[in-house]
Amino acid sequence: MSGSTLQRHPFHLVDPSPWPIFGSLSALCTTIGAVMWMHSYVNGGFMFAFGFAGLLYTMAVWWRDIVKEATYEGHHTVAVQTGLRWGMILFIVSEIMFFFAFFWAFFHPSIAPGIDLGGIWPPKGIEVLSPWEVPLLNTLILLLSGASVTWAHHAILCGEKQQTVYALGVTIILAIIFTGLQGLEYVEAPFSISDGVYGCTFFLATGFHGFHVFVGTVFLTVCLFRQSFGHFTPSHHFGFEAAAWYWHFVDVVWLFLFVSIYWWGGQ
Amino acid sequence: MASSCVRQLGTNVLRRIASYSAIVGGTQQLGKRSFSAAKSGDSMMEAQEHATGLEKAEKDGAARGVNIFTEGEAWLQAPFGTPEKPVVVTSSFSERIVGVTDPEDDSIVVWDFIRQGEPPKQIIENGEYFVLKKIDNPEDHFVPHSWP
Repeated sequence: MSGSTLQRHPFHLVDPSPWPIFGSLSALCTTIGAVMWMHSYVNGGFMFAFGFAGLLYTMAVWWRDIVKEATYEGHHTVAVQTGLRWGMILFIVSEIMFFFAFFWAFFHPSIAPGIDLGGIWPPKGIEVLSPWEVPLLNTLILLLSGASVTWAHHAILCGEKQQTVYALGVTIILAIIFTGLQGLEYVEAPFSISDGVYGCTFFLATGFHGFHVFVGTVFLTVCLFRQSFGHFTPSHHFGFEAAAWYWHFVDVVWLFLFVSIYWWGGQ
Repeated sequence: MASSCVRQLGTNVLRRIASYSAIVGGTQQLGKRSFSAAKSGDSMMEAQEHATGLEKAEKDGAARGVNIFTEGEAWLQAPFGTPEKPVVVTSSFSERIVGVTDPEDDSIVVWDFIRQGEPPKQIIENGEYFVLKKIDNPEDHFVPHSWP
């Protein structure tokens, strides 16, 4: 290849795209609709649903375009991949900041429980979930899924296409089992989100974690499809690596939740 | 010149939007690549055969032991422009602005017009000689040119 029509630098200057403005407007519609809905304004729910659908559509088409640019157009040089790596790392760091806030919200009342809680933690009247039942099982499930995603990575590195698919499948199945079990725990829990600061911090922290599990599951599922379509090679599979990093982050957050809220917080 | 600049810009923008819509609409062929679960078979492709576009050029260069963005390209090793063999500056118009960096300090750029019909011109003292070549087809910008 003479390279006569190639750009002279390794970076990707993206083509104009409608998705950023479309996503922004969808987010606006979602937030206004949510407020309208919560305050019983007419068509608030519809506005929220419309905006939310727009957000989901934006995510699908924007990331689809990135897959096209990378796999089909070859824009993802080493320099571009390096940028994406830093981007994903910084995004995960921002997510850690997010959870830091909820852990702070938990530790503040639990380390020094106020008189309104009875001066004890767990607060008087709260019947906590035993950490050694479903929560322990969920811990083992997530740890095993961390191992299976590592198996998938090694399979990609060795060029084992079908094995990668199996390993990713195992990971996703474990993730779905985790989510199902957490859902059951939520339904059966003897306390609700409105039950004082205990219920509030419990459900917010575990709830946002559950949402991140869902996001991670979708990310891994997309990787499963891309792998079966042959998008990944042993030396270039950053989409998978990003999903695996995110999954390990989700696992680590759960370990912190288990130790702090379920175990220490339940004593 | 300003109006033809604007027209060219407009054409470029429209071309970009058209090509973008074609990609989105699926009507443009992005090379001959296609992936499907059935086609890709049981094995993963090796990086060399899988890559395309700029990534492929980068990998091909790396296989030759060359970083294509910093070395190994003709334009990076082009000979110094002399009055007999000046640097040929292609342009769709009858003049083009060329900038030359100060050899002592590359944050300083000296700008000048290179006009059609003028003999090879230096922009800075002891600098390269430039001459304009008017082209009709924008693709000709990328074809190697030499002073006849």
